[in-house]
Amino acid sequence: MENNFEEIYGQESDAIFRFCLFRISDRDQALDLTQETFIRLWQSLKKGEIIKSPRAYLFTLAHRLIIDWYRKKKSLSLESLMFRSEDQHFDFIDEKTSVENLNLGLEGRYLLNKINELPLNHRQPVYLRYVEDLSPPEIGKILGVSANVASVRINRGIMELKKITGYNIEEIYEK
Amino acid sequence: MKNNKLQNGIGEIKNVNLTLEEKKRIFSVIINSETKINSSIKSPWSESLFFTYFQKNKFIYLIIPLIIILSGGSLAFASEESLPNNFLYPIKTDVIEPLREALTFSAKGKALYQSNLATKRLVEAETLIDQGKLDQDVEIKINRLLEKHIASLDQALAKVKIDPNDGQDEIKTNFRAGMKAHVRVMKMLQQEDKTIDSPVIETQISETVRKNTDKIKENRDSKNEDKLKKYNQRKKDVEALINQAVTDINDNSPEANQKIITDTNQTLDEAKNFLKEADGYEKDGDLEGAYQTLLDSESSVKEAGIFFKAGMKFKNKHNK
Repeated sequence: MENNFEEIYGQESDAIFRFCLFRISDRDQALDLTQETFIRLWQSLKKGEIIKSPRAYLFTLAHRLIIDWYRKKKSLSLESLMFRSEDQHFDFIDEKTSVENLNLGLEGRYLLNKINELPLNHRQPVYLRYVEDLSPPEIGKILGVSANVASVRINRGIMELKKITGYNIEEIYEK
Repeated sequence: MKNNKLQNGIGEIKNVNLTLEEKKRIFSVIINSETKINSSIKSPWSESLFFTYFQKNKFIYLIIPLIIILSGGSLAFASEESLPNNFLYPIKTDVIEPLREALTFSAKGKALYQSNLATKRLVEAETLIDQGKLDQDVEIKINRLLEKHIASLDQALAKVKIDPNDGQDEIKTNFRAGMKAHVRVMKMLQQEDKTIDSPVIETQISETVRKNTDKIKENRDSKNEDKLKKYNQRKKDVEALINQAVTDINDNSPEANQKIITDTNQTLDEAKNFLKEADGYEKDGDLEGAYQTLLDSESSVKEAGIFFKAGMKFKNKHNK
């Protein structure tokens, strides 16, 4: 079992760390969340649970831990209660990501900045599909939506990203 | 040129990794972390206990229905409210409930019944957490039953699919909403329980719910043209549900605590947003995406309503 876990850890730890780091922009916190994600996997394996797709399972755990992290971080200020507008619905988990402090090259930074400009519900599907190569059903499971909805969000996100960058993303992915 | 930049960009993003030291340190922490193993210590008295004999000898269940009939149903009635730590509980889950299911003949009825039983198991877990009596053995017991109900629900839903006017989406959204809402109530009660140290609790039950609500949701038959035509009617129903939920929260807000109101409002916001998103898909002519997102909205508003009512029930009980 330890060998199995070690293999999964070796394959997925970097991807999970990146996923956390790009969403919370804090290396130490991202390390903590990565550790917590793998502790949960380790505990599940020790309990004898069979995990069919460790990759999707890990991303789901990390996604939930990130949401928890933001919820705990956000304090309910009087101002936010008084000036709550109609368009703020999804922003109760308002991810303030910044790529400035990340050790990235120019093109990586530009791409990540553009992904972060996408609407929140298109951002993660695009990142998971095109950077981490996850399938729409896996992305649906991670984000808690159906595969159809995940697929629609990926396509819409890609159209938007093409518009703001001029990159032909579908073509690249097909290759 | 542009595509090279994109490939380089993705490559650079993928090069953001853990350092070797960080990787080793985290691995060592994980491997040495304490794991809650579900092994219970066998009681030295277990062999001589009457109820152990009762649990081990399945033939006794043949006699039980007879006893129930002879006792005029009073035992059945008494077992109805029993909890997993009560001696009447096996009568409820192994005799009464399977009997009732056997007497339900339609696939839709069976699906509905199994969905209700799954919710009932979560309510039992909630009550035990509230009483501080949910130990690991009881949790395993509830979790096994929960998995059984979900598997039976899945089977029943597969049969419901044959009929186009089945109300399958209704059962699924209700199931999803009920499961998610009650798991949240469980977590809320656990977090209030000072004997538990960890602020983020993933119980076996919440894991089962998380895995299976997605599974049940994925089974949606999305190609049914009739359902797509019902989009507008369903949208009105969802809007009415949202309005009703907002009214309920406003009416009860003086008595509810801030955490329940905040959590409920967050889920309602999710529902409103899914509705908005569905509208966007509908305007773009993507009726399939619109209908799926509308079901997500319906599920979220129902979840908000159930969470609010269940949360309030425990709060009122504590206040008294």
